[in-house]
Amino acid sequence: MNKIFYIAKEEIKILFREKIFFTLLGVFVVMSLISSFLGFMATNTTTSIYNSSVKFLIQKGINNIPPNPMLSFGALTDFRNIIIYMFLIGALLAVVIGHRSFIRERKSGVLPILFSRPISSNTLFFGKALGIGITIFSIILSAFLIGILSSLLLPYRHLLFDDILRLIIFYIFSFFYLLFFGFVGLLFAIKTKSESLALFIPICIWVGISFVLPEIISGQNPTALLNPIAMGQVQVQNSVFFSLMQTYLQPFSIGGQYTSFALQLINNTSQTSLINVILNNLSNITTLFISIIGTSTLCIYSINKNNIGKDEIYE
Amino acid sequence: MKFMNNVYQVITVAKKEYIDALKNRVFIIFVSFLLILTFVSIIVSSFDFQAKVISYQTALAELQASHQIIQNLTAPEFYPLQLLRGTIEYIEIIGAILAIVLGYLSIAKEKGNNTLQLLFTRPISKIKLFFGKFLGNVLLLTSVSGFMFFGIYLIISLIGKTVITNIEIEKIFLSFIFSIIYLSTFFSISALLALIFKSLSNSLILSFVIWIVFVLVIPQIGDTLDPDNQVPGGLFNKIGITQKSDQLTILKDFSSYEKARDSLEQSSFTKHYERLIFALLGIKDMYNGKTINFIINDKNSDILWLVSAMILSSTLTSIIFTKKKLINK
Amino acid sequence: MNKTQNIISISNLTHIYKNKKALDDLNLEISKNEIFGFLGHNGAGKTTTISILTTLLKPTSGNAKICGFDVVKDSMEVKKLIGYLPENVKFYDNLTAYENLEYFAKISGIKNPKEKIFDILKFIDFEGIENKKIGEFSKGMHQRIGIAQAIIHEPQVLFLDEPTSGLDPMGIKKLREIIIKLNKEKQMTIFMNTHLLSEVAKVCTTIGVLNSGKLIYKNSLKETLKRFNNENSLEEIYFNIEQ
Repeated sequence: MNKIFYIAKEEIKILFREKIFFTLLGVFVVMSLISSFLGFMATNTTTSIYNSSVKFLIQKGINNIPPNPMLSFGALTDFRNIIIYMFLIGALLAVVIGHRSFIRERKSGVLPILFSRPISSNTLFFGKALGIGITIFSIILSAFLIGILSSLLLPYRHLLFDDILRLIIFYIFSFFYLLFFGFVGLLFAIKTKSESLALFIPICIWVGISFVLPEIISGQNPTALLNPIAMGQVQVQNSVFFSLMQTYLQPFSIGGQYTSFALQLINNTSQTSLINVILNNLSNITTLFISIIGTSTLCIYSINKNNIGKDEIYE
Repeated sequence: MKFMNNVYQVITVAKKEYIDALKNRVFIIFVSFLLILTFVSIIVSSFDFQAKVISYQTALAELQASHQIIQNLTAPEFYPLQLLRGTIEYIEIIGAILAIVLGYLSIAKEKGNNTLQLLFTRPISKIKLFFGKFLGNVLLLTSVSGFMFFGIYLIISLIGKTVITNIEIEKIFLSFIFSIIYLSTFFSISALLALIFKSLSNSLILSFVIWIVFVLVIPQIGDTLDPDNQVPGGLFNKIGITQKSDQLTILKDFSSYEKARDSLEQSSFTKHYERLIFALLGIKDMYNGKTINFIINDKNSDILWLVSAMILSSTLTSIIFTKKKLINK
Repeated sequence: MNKTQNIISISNLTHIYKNKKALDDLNLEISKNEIFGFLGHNGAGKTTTISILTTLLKPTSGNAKICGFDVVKDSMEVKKLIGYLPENVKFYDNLTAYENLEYFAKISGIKNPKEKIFDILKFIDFEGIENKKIGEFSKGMHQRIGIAQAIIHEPQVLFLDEPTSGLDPMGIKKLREIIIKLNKEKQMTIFMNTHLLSEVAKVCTTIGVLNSGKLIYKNSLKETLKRFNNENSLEEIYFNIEQ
């Protein structure tokens, strides 16, 4: 057990000395800040447009005007964009963290030394996993704090206890979502001979999960998931092809499941209580955990099997 | 004679880049991935269209059965080029990754293998080496896009069961040319970073950061900031202002917000590519059926952005390649 | 010594890298047909010297000439006269040996290199591998392809940077034979960086010793052995000089 902690500690220590890590973290933090601000801007402007429209309609003599739809969205509306940044930059960051954690060992040639010590491949994996986990956790935590802080700074909506609870669950779920991509990055860093390929493959997998599967399942455009509002309205197509795809591919569409669950958490107007939202998404949660366990198993298997240290790494 | 010699050397380098990439597993995996996705995307779109036709026919039949007015129902019209939306998005996303891969490999291989030292001790100037590399890789991107657009043409003429007009072929051809320009920009950016950075892996990661910001994040921000996108189904529809002219009157007061949103979108050259191609292929409805001249005139600023981005990135790369001390000893 | 006979002449060469003098006022002349062994411990400045002579690096001050051409001002002319094999070179592993050699021949200005490539492969006793991918090659094979690309345009001077590093005894022996053959049959002058003294004794005609960027010794191998005749081996001579 101690060995796992040593490996994890080493892992984090090295990562926090890498410039590229801070660059990515910086991009992520800035994006979180921008997303709160942009959410605020968009809501504000839309409300103003609504007010102008009301004036315009009254001038025309129309009095039967529906209430401002923005007001019905609940306090967490402005967090909608953060889903997308988790989905895009968060996942890429996680892939890079996982990738670096093992490529570093292979490049420096210390793997043979590590394996000549009394360390099992399980220990090595769990040490790495813990290191990756703690790193991702600290990123999620910073995103969470920034979110809370900015909603205090832009005090147009009050977060209730239920809102904060929803946010916390959203961030916890996001943590596991990113952890999955961290493990995908780790897996190919273990398996793939060339360093660049070890980064390209996870990114392709990510593109597949985020864009390709949702398209095939729903007939939507590949980037449809990037619009959090439109995302909530994806209609199931009335066609044999799409219902077939839906049946067989939906379980693999981790990206679509993530955004869907996240949106239900954030969009607290749906009158569905938090407990029900969670219950409705149990299958999504289960899929994610199965995927995490699956990639971990593959990682351990690959560490065992690969005779690492024999081959030189290049490119 | 001397000119011919120069051309000969540049072509030698270009040819090697071309053959080397074709024999590279990483490259082949990506090309196959891209090709499969574009074709899948067209097929999915055509299924999507088919589903729309079916639901139109069902609705029509129901209305006719109950003797209701059917004026409000519009039949889905078939524009084969509109099926290409998903494909274009894949070129934007994965095509760009492909170009990044090429740019990275063309520099990283030489650096990692120490062949840069060999090349620089040969009687060939650095600028010729650069031209050769650039030419070879642009030709590769041309072959890939050519293959893709030709496939698109074939599939569409098979699915559509209609003869594709000459104008449509010209539009596809122009989209092909602009795709090469778009992809070459990513090639140059990734090669540039691989040249500048001491650590090759950092340069690759940075290329991906630039990719994600320009291709996915900025266009997404522009999209979500659109006031009409804030409410499902559109704000104006929700409160019953359906006349476009009325909407524009109200939005007049918000032009500065709109301008800010637009300039944010403008900062991504991917968005320029998308606007241009969506106009050419009529994916954006207002350009559907318009002449090429009209579209080119209307979109000349996008063309300018796209071409400038490519010239700027390739010039910068050529300067760094020829001027920077690439061998530290 | 007659100046035209000097294939390489270095005068007052200084190179400063990161505030440290990698080369400190180096003067060195190497005449035609020599096999020059450049000795020195790691970081003495051997690779810096080779990098300047092969036009890869611009010196901070001083100058160097190859066959009368300045390595900075006439770098294109110099490039036509030299062949270079850097340390740890790997080539394009997806291409075959032939394709790799063809590439380097063509960018060196040879129009139809086919015959030449086969001649050279024969010369270095390395036939039958031309259609194999470089990626499948061993270190020793890489090194031989390295020599082939360096001599394909028939240079006057061949620069080798630690050519035997990482090779097995067979590979070293093979390489040694090729170097001597190149010198004897093709009249190539060879400039070789090394820290392997056993190599120097078997191959070189002249040796030079570099220490902290300064040339501290240069003489023919024969003279060296004569002068230090009470020493048992070249190792001892080397340590004597270094002190």
